[in-house]
Amino acid sequence: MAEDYVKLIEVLREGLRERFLRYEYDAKRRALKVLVERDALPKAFELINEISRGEYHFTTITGADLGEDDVELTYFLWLIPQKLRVMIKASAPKRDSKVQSLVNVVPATILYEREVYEMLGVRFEGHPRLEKLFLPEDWPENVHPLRRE
Amino acid sequence: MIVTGAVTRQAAERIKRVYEQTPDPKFVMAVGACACGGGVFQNCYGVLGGVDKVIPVDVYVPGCPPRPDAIIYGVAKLIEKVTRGG
Amino acid sequence: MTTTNVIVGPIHPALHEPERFVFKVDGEVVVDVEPRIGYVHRGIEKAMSERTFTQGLYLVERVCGICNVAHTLTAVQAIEDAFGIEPPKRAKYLRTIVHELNRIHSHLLILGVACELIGFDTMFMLIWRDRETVMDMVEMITGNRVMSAYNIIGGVRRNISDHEVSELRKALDTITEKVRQYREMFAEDPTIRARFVGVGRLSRAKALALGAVGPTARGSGVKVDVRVEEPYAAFDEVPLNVVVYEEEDSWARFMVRVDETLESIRIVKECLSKMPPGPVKVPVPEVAPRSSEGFSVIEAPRGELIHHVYTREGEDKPLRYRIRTPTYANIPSVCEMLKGGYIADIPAALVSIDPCFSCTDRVALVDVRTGKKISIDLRMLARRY
Repeated sequence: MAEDYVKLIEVLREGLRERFLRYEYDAKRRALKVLVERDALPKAFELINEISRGEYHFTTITGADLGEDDVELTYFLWLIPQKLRVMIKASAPKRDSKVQSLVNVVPATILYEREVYEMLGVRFEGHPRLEKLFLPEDWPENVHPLRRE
Repeated sequence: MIVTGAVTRQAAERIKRVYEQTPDPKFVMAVGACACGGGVFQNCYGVLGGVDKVIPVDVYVPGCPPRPDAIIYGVAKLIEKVTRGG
Repeated sequence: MTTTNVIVGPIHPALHEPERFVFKVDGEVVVDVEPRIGYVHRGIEKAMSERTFTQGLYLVERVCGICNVAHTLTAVQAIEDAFGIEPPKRAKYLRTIVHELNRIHSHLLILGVACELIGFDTMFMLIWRDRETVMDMVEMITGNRVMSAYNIIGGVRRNISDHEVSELRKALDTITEKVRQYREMFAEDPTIRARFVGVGRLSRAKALALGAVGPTARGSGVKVDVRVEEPYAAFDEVPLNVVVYEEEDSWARFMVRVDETLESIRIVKECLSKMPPGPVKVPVPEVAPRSSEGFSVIEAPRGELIHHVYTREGEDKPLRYRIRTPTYANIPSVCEMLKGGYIADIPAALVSIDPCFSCTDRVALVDVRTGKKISIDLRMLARRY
């Protein structure tokens, strides 16, 4: 069962090529971390859709400003038949933080993308409704609370 | 008017409006540490503080959360205050 | 455009306006649903980076008054993951016991609320009276009904005495019979069935695609329970049955909770028998021993809950702390359930996801033809329609 992570890595490597950067597998937790280029995200999730035949649960997206020049994005999901916890990570530079929206490939991302946008200023291109989710209407436009500045 | 929870920025205007629209005689009970003074959410960017930041409060019931008996005691205190003419 | 506002009952500052959901309606049919989930936004994630790890526990505990234990459990596990700390086995069992008692009280709470919503006031009072037994047990073990800060980094705050174990066993036996009766009632009572069967339809495919969690997902045939898939605390040693229903409606979601309550009672009893002796906590550094990332996923009463933390070596505060609550995950599914349905179904559908807001909550109904808007609370909506 856990060896399924090897299959998943092969599929991602083949599909993403040089945009697949590296991976880490925690055998005890059956948790797989994969780092990819940000423009590879839609393709990565298409591949995940295929290999799991849609049988996966999308958990959430974490956006994090760790004090570097970019915002780190972590996409958490659970592959059901393979029983694998997967974290797909990508970075978006702060100065040009555009990432393609995954709403068409993973409908469950619809609210999480809005949240990462309002909190960290990452623009998800193609999102049907990229507006504030939690912050009040009168909150200033370009102030993102979870950015370090 | 019984108020629980910390006052968020979005809620402030509405609380004021509700208070103004409530006919006299009116009394306000702040129930819980957050309503009393922001509680554990003090200094959170979404929170202004306790209810008295926005409207006058007659009775404060502290606790996080206050026990059911404490709330009842608060109501008793309010009734006392009202009958005294406070 | 004319607006009509109706102000009813006790006022919770967060619940006055705006409403949690805006429903665009055409006659009796819901045409579109827009969630508005910002007004209790307090800014907790940012605040977590401004507090030490231990101070942060008191804050996360208050994300939700009902779930409180679920949040502290997830928090300590995430921090232990980042720090590389393993709590003692006995602590894991105690955590599991309190975690399951939390689930029992939470499920009984919403089952009572569901009854109250459809006018079964007596049943609501009876269920909540039995819930008091659980609250008494939680207070006995942890020191408080809620907000006991029982889970700490490295273990739990208190041990349990033999006397408390025997009291707990007695209490569990008392409520088992009651919960069985409630189960029969929810399964067979014609009024309950009339109000909840077929309401709030959510197909399995949609539940999965929209990221539904907990009883909301399991009521639509999604057989996923974090306790089984990614065992935490004592779940690697205490097996459990995943409760799944295929009916995809509000009734199914409530049945999942009733059956889960019985399963939780069984789990607590098994924990009491299997719990090993030993310490209940281990010493923990005040600052992060390494620059790392940790996460913890648990099955909270409402569903999958995740805390994700980044640490920097030598710092006493997290670098970044992220929380995704189960109700948040269920919002897109709730919108899906109600689109194309009737206004009359709104309360029964909303309550069935056991949302992290009360039923005095308000919704707005906007008529697409006239533009007229009504703001109404769920209880009134349930009684009027």
